[in-house]
Amino acid sequence: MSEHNIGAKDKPKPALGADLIIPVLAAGFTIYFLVTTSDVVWEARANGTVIGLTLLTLIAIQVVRIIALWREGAGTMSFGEFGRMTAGHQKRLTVLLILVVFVATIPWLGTTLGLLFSMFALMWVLGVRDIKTLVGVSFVTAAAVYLLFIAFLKTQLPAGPIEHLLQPLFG
Amino acid sequence: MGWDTALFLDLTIKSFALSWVMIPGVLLGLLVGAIPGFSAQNTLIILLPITLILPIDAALAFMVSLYCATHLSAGIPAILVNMPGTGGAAATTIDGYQMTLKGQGQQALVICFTSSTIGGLITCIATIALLPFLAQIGLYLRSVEMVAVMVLGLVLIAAIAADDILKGLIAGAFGLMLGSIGTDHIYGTPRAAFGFLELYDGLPLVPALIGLFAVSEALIMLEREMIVPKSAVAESKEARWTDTLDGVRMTVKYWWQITWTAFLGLFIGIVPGAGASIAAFVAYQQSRAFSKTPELYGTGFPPGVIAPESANNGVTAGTLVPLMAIGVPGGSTAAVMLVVLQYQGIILGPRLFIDSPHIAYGIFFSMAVSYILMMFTILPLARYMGQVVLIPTRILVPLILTLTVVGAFANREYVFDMGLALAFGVLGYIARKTNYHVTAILIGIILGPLFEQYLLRALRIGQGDLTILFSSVTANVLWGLVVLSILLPYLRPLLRRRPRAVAATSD
Repeated sequence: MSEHNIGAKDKPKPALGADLIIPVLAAGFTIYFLVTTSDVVWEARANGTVIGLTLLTLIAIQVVRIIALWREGAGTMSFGEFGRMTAGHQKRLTVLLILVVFVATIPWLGTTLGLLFSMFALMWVLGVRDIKTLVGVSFVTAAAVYLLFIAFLKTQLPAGPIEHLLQPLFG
Repeated sequence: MGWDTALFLDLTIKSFALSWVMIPGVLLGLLVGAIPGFSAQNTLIILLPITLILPIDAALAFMVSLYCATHLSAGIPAILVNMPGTGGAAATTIDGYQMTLKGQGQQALVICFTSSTIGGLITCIATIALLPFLAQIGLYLRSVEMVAVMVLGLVLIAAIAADDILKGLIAGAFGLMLGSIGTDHIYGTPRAAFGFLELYDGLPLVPALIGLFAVSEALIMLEREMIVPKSAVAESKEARWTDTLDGVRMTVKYWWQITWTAFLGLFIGIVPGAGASIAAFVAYQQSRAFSKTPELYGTGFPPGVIAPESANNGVTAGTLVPLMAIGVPGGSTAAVMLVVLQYQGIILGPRLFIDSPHIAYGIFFSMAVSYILMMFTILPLARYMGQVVLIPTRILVPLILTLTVVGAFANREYVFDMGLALAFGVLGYIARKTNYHVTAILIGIILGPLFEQYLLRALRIGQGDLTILFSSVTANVLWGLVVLSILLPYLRPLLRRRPRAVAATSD
């Protein structure tokens, strides 16, 4: 929103290179689809081929448009904030790393313990330093998920030491 | 069977008498619908043993009240934290979240609740009156017409991302391509599954929804202190009853919008497989297309909340019409109800209206009563729910991330889906930052498998001849709507300019 307050002269030029990330991902996936289905029956590839060729055409138009804008000087070919490691990105990557560890260890730790640790770690990374908040919120979240989804609704969430320990109590 | 006042009066009284089972259904549905990943059908499957031992009328009342409540409450996180509880509420994020950012979260919630309940109630009453006739609509839409319906959906993708139609189309087509992952419908050939067995069933919708909306939004949100900007904090803190009344007033002002979008949802709901997601997006787009102020959509405009919410609750009655009339469930939740009805020995189809009218019509009376109960249960809570936006993001973001990632597991019970939600979170983050609409990607993923299914069926009927897609009057009318939807945004400025030019000339 603050962008509206910045004068037109001070406004940085749009990073057109960043606009190509999604098209490149989409084109990559489409080519993968078309190549890996080239030898299957027509019924299995008809839909993907129709959509894929349409998508590749749209991407080609977008690439041409971006090059035209760049040549007009309406933007740069940089990747904007994706091209540099900002403090925000560092925080984001740490958060994602914690979540990846959470997902990778959940089959052993179980949902309750995994939630407890990951909530604690995530809040710490995001700047919570009050120990009561860290422990209290992590515990309440893990306990609430256990009681509602595992004990009451009987959802088959990954079980670990806590779930095994409480099984005789809640079934 | 025609109108039977005595039967309908009896069913109304009986439905109110079933409040003991409907209130728990409503409360559970409100909770489940608000958490992405925990859908109505999954909850009903988990609670199947309970529904099987209940008397049939109580079981149906419980199931429909839970079903309707999930449709309503999916709008709560969509409005407050920009992440829909289900795909049906994805369109609500567009204007609902903008209202929250303006400090009008409470009003947005009230608009969501009132338009959902009124929309749901209107369509219940209409369904009761027109049930035998409505059942015929589903029969007119075969594979050929469904392809046209899907193409209409594709065009809407571009219209949703109206700031840059090309980006909208790329995002939508990318979503459609992702929707092609998995084995094909005829020969079971695996396609583009990257070697993962978990993708052979197709790309699961819940992790995609959670990643594109919840995870990506949380990744953006973590740099802010609170969801609402500082300028709107004071406004959000002062939760008043007058704000609730203000929301009701805004809804009443657009009563006509509620009515026609609810009927749109009803008709889309009757088509098996179409569902709330498509209905909400169609309603949003059509509401904007026919609005006098289309430029206000996307900026926190009340009709942008009313249209999708009213439509996705109109769908609830619609999905049950083919179930009752021809024994074909209109959606996955209706399929669970079918199991319960069959277990109880109820034979669905045209004879149901003669043999068991109390079941055929009773389900819609229960639905109407559950909407009335919901209105009184949830409306007073809007004042307190709106306070969620005041929780600091350093606590809210971890809560959202961990709970939704767990939610990604709950649907299919694969740890793989949790990883998939994170991957879609990164994709959604990049898409948001570069203005490739995540809703367009999502609607593409939703439409992809359906489009393929109907296209292949039509092509096989036509022995590979594409002209079969233009072989029926209904399909051609739908193709006409497709063309109209593409041209309308371009034609509207021209049409507006003309009267002004005429006025200027006459001056």
